[in-house]
Amino acid sequence: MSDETPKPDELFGKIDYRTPAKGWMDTPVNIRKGMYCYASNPKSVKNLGLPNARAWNPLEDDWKLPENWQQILHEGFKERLDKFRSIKIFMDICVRCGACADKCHFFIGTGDPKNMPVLRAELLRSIYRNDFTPTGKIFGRLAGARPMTLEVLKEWWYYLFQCSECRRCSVYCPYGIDTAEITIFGRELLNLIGLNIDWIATPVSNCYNTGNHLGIQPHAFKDMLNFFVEDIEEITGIHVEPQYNKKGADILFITPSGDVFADPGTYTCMGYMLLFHYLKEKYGLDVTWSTYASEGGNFGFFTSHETMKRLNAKMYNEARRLGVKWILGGECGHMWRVISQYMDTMNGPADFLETPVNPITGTRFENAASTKMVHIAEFTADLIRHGKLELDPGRNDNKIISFHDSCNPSRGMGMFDEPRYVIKNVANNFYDMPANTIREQTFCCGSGSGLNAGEDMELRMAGGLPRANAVKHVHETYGVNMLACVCAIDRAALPTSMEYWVPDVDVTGVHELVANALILPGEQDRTTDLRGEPLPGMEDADEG
Amino acid sequence: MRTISRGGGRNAQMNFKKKISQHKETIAKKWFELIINSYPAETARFLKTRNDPFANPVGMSTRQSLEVLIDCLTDQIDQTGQDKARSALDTILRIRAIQDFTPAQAIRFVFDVKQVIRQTLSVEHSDSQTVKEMAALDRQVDELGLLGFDIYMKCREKIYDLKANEIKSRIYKAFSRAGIIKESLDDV
Ligand code: SF4
Ligand code: SF4
Repeated sequence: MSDETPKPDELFGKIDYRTPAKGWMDTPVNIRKGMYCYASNPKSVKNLGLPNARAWNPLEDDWKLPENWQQILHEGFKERLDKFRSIKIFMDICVRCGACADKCHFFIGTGDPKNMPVLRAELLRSIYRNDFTPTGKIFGRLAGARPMTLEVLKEWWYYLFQCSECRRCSVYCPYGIDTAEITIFGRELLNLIGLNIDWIATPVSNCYNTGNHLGIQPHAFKDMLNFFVEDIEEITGIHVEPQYNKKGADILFITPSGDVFADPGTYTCMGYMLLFHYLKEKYGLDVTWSTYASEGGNFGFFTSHETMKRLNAKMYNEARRLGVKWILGGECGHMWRVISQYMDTMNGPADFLETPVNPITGTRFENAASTKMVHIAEFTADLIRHGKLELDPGRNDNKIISFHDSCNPSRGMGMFDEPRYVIKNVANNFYDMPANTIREQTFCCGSGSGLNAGEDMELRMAGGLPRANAVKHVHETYGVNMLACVCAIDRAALPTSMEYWVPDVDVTGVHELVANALILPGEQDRTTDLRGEPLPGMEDADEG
Repeated sequence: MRTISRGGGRNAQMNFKKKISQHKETIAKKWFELIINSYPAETARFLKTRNDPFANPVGMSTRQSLEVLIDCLTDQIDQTGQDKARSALDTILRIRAIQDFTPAQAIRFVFDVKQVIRQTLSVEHSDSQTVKEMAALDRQVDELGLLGFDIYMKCREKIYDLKANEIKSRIYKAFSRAGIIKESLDDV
């Protein structure tokens, strides 16, 4: 009977499972659908005054590059080696020890060796050696150098947009090489010849024109918040009155527009509004929203240092225009990296503002002495610590919560404990994920740095796998059903990742939880949470 | 031709399956090697050697799931067994469905276990009864493979669903709740 069945050894001998073992330089780039984002819309590129605005398609051979693109890149490289000492050092000192190699969520999830941080950096380093080092010039490939070709350029573009600039790799590098910085630098070079993606270019252009990534105009921004006012009134019986563009207010509040326009961020936004109302009623806190600086996020950061600076400047200009004392920032990720690592030398110091002091507790935020901007998780943690909030954590009892440390607030500004402290005070069920997946070792959501488009879903799911895997563990072990975070991209990206990997887990902002627990003076008997779902024990309240 | 009594058949089947169970570790190891070698060499090395389930979720969950699948081949075929098989296949295929594999490359690992078992238990050199049992097992593996196709397709459909509906379910929903939906969503 087994005549047709090949002998096992025969069969094993024949199967070629592996991609042929070639050196990475000889493995040509294969631009695969689902792994890249669409090219930028020329209208957006033009609007920003960035070079080489034209329609182009990454899958076509001709990328419609300027004739002298190699020269532009070479000169751009040279200029930045002089300008950014960190880049020069990162180009020189890697000993290829491999400690970072398996730490990238995109490598872990895609299994593509070129997503090892060391190889990602090597894409640029090989050109650096060729163009700027004597050994590279003389020994060429022997010294790990290669000339810039169209193939190499395509590889740059493909893999620099498969890095979410999360910095996880840098935590493990004995030399502190930050591959995120290398990606940031590489993307800036690509922008010199018009190679951006639309998910970044168009939000940046929108933000440049109207103050937020979605291009929502001031009146619509206000309409949206007013709609939340109605919702809040229905749920709590309390009429909140947010202040807009108020000159002379104490504090300007800026949050990512995702909180205003996209679920489930909208519930976090309602959370801020309830908190501000509570603090105004009880302690006279004077906070204003701005319909012009209506974006905390900064996709300019994913384009170039210059565009990041332009978008960041508008927040400070608005603070100056309104004459506030300091700025309170919402639950955002990369906005905090921009503030705590770049703002000060880019647009700061913001001397026209005051060092932030919590008017209710008297706490002086020395960490924000120069940037004048405080994260709302720090602010709320401080209020709780001083017993200034009346809370009923039982209202969150149907939520078994874990916390996802967003890359930027954790690795970019060192905020680990404040959000956890807040959650543990407003809810009773909290379980952390395993140690090597949280705090400074946290895994990216998989969609950071402007990669949260729809067309690159395979990439996002692969990048989100290590995070989701840890969520799955706490879901199966402790019954976790809610993943909290302090970042708007997380709130946009994690629900999708959960839907694919761990469908029983939902996503929330921390201030949604805060507002659920907050006991407002004069509130009606609350039967639902901010999402309109029954509070624990109120499941039958409707039928009464 | 010899006839085998029904009772003897069941016995032989039990023995054959018992043999598989006894060699489970070797079979799992070889099977794992095969699936892992569908990745580039550097990746395969990592997937094989890193034993922390959170640092190496692909390698570790694949290894674990293969062990479950071997159990499913040898255990009673009942509802629990089927659920276990489905969940183990889902774990592996959900990952492979988003990686750089064609559908055939993603699923072929299921069928590979036939050769692994043949080789490990030297089936070709065994008595005709064992050969017969192996043929029955082949059919069982084929069933697993077919189930795998269903699961793989479901994962792909989910990906397309997410691609098409993510924006709608996050932004459109918020806008429509607020009644300001007329703005051009194309620009979002
Ligand atoms: S850990 Fe640092 S030195 Fe080692 S390979 Fe990675 S970047 Fe280079
Ligand atoms: S910064 Fe993050 S995404 Fe980029 S290479 Fe390092 S670990 Fe990977």
